[in-house]
Amino acid sequence: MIKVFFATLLLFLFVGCSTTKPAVTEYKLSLKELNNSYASSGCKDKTLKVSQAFSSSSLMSLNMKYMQDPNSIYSYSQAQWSDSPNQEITSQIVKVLRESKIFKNTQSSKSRSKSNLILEVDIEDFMQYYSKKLDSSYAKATISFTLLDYETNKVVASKTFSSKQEIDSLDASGGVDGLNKALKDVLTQALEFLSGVCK
Amino acid sequence: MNNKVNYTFIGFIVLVGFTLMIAFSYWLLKPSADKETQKYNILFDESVLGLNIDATVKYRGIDVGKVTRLRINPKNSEQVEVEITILKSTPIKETTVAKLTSQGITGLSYINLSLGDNGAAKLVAKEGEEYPVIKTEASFFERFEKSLGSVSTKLSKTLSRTEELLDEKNQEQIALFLKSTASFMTQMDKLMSDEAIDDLHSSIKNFNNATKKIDAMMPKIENFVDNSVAWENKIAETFTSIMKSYMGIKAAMDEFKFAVKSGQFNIKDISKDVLPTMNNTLVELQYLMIRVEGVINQYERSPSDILFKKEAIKKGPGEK
Repeated sequence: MIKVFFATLLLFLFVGCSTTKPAVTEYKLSLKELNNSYASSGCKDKTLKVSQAFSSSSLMSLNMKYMQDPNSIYSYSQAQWSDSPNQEITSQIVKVLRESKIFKNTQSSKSRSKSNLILEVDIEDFMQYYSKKLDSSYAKATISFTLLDYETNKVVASKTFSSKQEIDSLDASGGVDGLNKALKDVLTQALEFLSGVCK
Repeated sequence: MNNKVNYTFIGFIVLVGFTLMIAFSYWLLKPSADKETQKYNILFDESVLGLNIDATVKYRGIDVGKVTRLRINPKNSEQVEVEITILKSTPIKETTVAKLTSQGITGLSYINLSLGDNGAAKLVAKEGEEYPVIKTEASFFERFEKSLGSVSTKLSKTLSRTEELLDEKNQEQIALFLKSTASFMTQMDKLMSDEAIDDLHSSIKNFNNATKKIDAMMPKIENFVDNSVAWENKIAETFTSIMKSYMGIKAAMDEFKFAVKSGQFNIKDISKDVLPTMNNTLVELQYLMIRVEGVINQYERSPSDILFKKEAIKKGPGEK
């Protein structure tokens, strides 16, 4: 009798384990066809280290969030980031800066090497926005770039870039596409800016 | 008949009889030991009015002699020399004092000797003195007169000072003082009204109550003080402990400084490898903390999710 009782109890407890959750799709940012040729940069003799981006904690989690007009934030239940947007954006910035060859050398914050300059990145906004009726959507990215002298810690240059991209597909996939475009736009502007800093 | 008379024998008998008569008279007239007297002089600085020749001399009230001569002292005209003859058996010592005493209302006086100390030496005549001189003490009247004079002087002084005190200026001041006193008394009258007395009683009652409360509080205060003392002791112990810790830290820091100076520790070299790794670890830790925070938030929203996945899942746009 006791055995039957415990078996029933265990069954009751593990009912939760049998709950079926929908399949989750992981997304990753990918920038394509970025114009990254800046041969005339004046910073070619300087090395750069890109510090870990500053952001709100929501951009440091894997949850893919969207904002429904005007102030409500929700998470997609069937979509999430493969890496946090913070890490993803930081690594994308390092990648495009390396490819642009604006600087002699570009390293991530994990590198032990010394550099002449430090780039501080502050992600102010990186989110998909929906209208109240969920009938329209856009992606917005706002990122500040601050270039510091490593030795003196003085600000060499600082600027904030923003981009807003309309989304055709009203879902997570469309959101990721929109954010990709917005990030590409912001980075294009940032590369232009950084290439002109050392003139 | 033999009528022959022996005249030699008769002459012898007469001589013997005459001798015996003389001897008998001497025996009869010879002064006894008790009747032997001694003369003394007394020098009075005061008047000896009422004292006459043959006036009585008493020793502690007993008649012991008489005054035999009265005259002005030839050596000092301000003194009266009184010669007395008293019984030799009278114990006149150096401390014996003669005092002129009045004899009732008759106006006559006598000399009273007193205060002869048993241990004192017998009074004898000094060089240049005819007889021993007994010391004197002022009579009652003399003393009374002297004191009267003193009283009179003091009274005179007092009157003079009273006069000074009561001059016009002081009279004004006294008038003012009296006025102030009157005003004060009026105020006091008001103060001592029934209402004021009631208030005073009430205050005293309150004071009594307060005193009682204070009495009741005293043990608590004592307890508080004891606790404070205990607390202070604990604080002192704590400070001692902190001081020991500080000394330990200081010693450790000194050793550390010595090690750094001597090159056993090179912070730069150590940090060169450790800091980047630590920085990366901290970044990873930050991500981990954010995830843990997310999980905790989820289970705070829906605690039953630990066993049963109960929280409703809101599907996003485009999700089925």
